[in-house]
Amino acid sequence: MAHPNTIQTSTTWLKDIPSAIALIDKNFEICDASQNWFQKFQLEGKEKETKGVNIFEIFPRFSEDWKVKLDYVLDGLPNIQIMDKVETDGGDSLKYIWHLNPWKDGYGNQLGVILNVQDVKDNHHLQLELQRTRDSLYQKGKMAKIGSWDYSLSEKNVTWSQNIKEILGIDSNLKGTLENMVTFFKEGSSRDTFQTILEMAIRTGKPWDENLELATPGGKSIWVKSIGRPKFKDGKCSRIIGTLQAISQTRETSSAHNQSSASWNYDPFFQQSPVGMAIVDYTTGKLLQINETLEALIGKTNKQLSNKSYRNFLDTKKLGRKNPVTQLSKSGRFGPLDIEYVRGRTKSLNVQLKGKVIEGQNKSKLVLITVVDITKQNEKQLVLEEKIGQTKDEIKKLVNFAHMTSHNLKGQASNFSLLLQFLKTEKMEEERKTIFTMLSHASESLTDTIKGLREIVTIRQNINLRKRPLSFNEYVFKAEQGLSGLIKKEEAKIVNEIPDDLKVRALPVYLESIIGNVLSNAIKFRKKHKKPLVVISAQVKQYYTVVSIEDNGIGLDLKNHEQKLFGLYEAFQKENDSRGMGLYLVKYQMELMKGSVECESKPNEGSVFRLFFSNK
Amino acid sequence: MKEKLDSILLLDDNPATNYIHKKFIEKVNCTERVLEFQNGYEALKYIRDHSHRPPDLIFVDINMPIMDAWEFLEEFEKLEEGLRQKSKVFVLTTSLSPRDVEKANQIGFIEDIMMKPLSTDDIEQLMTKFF
Repeated sequence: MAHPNTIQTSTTWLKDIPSAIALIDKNFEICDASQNWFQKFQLEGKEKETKGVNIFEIFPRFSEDWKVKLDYVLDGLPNIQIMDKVETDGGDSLKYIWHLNPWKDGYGNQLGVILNVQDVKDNHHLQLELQRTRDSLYQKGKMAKIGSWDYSLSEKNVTWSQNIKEILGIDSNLKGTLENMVTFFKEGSSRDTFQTILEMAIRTGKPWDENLELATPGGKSIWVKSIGRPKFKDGKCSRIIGTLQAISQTRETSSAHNQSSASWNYDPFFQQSPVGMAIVDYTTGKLLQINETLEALIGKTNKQLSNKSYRNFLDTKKLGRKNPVTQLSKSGRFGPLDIEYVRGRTKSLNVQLKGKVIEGQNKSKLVLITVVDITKQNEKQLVLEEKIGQTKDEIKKLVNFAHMTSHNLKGQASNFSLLLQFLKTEKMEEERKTIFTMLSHASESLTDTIKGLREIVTIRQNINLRKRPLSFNEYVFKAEQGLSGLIKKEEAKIVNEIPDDLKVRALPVYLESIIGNVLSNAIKFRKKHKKPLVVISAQVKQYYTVVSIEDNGIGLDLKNHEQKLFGLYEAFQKENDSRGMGLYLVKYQMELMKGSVECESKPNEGSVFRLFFSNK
Repeated sequence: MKEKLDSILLLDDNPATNYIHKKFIEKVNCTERVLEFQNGYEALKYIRDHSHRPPDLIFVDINMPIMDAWEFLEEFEKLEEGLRQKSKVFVLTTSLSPRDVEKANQIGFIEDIMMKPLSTDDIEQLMTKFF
């Protein structure tokens, strides 16, 4: 494949063109020309010898100004015209207009310059056109803020064009030295970069194309595209020709003169797109334009945001690898990046950003950013995650429950079967009595387990019912009625300090079960020689209503058993000091109602169970 | 297998399980005495109080409400070395959980985890292997 810089592009078509056209490469050497062009300059029959020869050798009359203008064209400026006057041997004077235009391949790579020559005598109005072109070139340069400079190494002086003086705000009396020029670049990275690339260009001949920041004598800061080309003579750098183009004001230029450059138009698609979009200057990071959708989304107008840095909205320091600036410099793209945008004082939006580097006018680099409101998506995701979390908890509980149930029932069933076998063969009356006691105990235990299982099934059946405000005392009364036998037997006293108007948000079935379980435990685990005393009280707080049930019973060693107190395994322990399935059910039901249960206790000092009912 | 052990200690909160195991042990006739406890504290107290005659074999249920097997064994480990080394300890459960196996492996002096209820075959095999 042909390298773009080696001219292997077919130019056979050129021969037959009726105009006088020549193509020269970046070193200004003739690549090919039309027959008409060879004829015009008496080179007919010398076509082969002419090819590869430098245009300045063929036309020694071409001044240094030609080089500057050819450089402009190589830098991309089109339609430059030069007047050429030739004295013939016969004393006649011939005048030509040379039209200089960039020569590019199909990929947009600059190959060289197209030279199109017209005779002035053939076309008198061209003189007028030439003048217009000069004016236009100056105007374009001025509007596009392009200026040139030329540094001669032998004379050690810099020549600035009028435009560059305007861009830089240079005093016309300022001496044209390289030192003075360097000081125009903003101290720091821009000045260091300029010095480095300049030094490199002088030493190695390497051209440059960099965006740098200028600090004008007036204290302004301007970003410019700096292009430089070193020229070598006898292996040494003799001069450097450079251009500066102000890039932070290119928008104005574009609107004023959009015929000459490919520009970024804020077209109807951009404005009317249902997706929020913004254009940011890649070099300065300033917002150039946002569309209507984005205006509506963030509640600010294009005018309010214009020229504000993206840093006002995005703290890139905290983003690490997600830093869009780093991503853009590596791949020309960034995102998706999810950020929070605070709109106004209270409203917070979750937005997703994606960006891509695009080419704006005069090849300036821009970043097109899309902004999508994902607040609702995030909210839905949060709800979904919460549901998944709840479901996982439920599954875990069910797996534990199934495991413990099968484990417990298996143990009890085995015992039953074995005890019955013993009973069949046992002859001694005393031993048979013992086995009967054991069987009776095992039967009670099994009944309790099945009762517990039924309660859990009931809880699960009610899981989707809605909570409602319930009179707490009504349920205390119901529980007292249910436990009346136990209360009478144990001679228990229940002191209820809860006002009758207190309501808690709960499910009736759960509330009845919870109060019943906590009260029965408070009575059952009594001290041997002390009548049970239970005090019920409540406190309404902002988010919860806390009901305390305090007893004077045997208490618990929470130091060792806090973790196990409400545990599922303990739910199946029905022996002596076990609190049974009750506390497991209490915790399970309280949690299903978005509440919780806590216990405070010490051995021999009674217990306090606190039920936290959510007020929502 | 030794002729007969001096004592086997059963520790399970369910008296029926202890009773069944006692019956099987008596059937195998491998010990002079079977000691039954439903509570770890009482079992420990007995062992301390009878340090001159510690049990040869201890079966302890993993899941107990007041003091589970792990808490019991933690306290048991604190006993004098001579006393502790005399007894071979087996833990019992109705279902094996990986967590229990891992815990048992961490405690060096546990001989094995066994499924309950034990059978006479289990007891005979154990006696042949360990005594």
